Amino acid sequence: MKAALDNHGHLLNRTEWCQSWAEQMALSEGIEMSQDHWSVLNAVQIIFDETGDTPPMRLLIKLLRQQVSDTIDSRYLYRLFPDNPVRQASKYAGLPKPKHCM
Amino acid sequence: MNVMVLNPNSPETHWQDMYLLLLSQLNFDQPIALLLLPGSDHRGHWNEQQWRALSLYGLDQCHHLGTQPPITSQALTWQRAKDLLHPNGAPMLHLCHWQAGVDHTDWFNLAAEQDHLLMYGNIPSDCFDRWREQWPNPNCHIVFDGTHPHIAHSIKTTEAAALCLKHPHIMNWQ
Repeated sequence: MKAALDNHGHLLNRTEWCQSWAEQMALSEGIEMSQDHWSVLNAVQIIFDETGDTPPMRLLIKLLRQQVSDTIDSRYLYRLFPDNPVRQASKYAGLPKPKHCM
Repeated sequence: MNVMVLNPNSPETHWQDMYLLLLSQLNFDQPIALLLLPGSDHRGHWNEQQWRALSLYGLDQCHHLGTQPPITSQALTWQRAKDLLHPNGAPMLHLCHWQAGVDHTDWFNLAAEQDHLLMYGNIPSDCFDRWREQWPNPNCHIVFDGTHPHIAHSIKTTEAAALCLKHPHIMNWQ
């Protein structure tokens, strides 16, 4: 966990991201990564590559329903990422803080 | 329907602010239409990823004057654009911040008979006279803020503020 982080705890350089880094970062915030977490993280990385950012919650759910499972809703995401699903998923995926997040 | 007007002369920060506002509107399923003024396709400040995002997130009402942007969009005539901006023919207040070398006179096509134009900044009087000749009515004023020479047809900031309050529909040309 020696990768450089920005002021918000997100990776400064995405090329330093790896699964073990994500697992350690999540664990340091009390989250044990499961397959469900990884499905969301992988989808968020794909969306980021496509659009240049992680979208706000409702738009993210809309895309996750298309790309991962049509059963995903906000309760599901909050169970996985209790503090802030968009923010935490972006962080563990090695992505910057979403631009729309204050 | 809320219409967001994008203008190629606006600074990049304004375009980025508008992008986030648009995302927010789409996020909450608010009906919104985008109207791109001429030149927005090549002098605008959104990158390909941002255009792709808007398409992905379901922006389904985009209109343009000029050339096609990198998203599904409907070409409008000036008249159709004016109809879009003037719901029920309500008068509109146009705001323009004078920048030397930037000519907005094409956009006068968007002005309707009852509209007002307020200009801010240190506009030379001969330039203002040319604008005034092309504006479709006498409601074309410079907002006098006390920092530049008083010229004809200027109004005080308090009068300008009153006009802003009176007009629910405001278009900012930058």
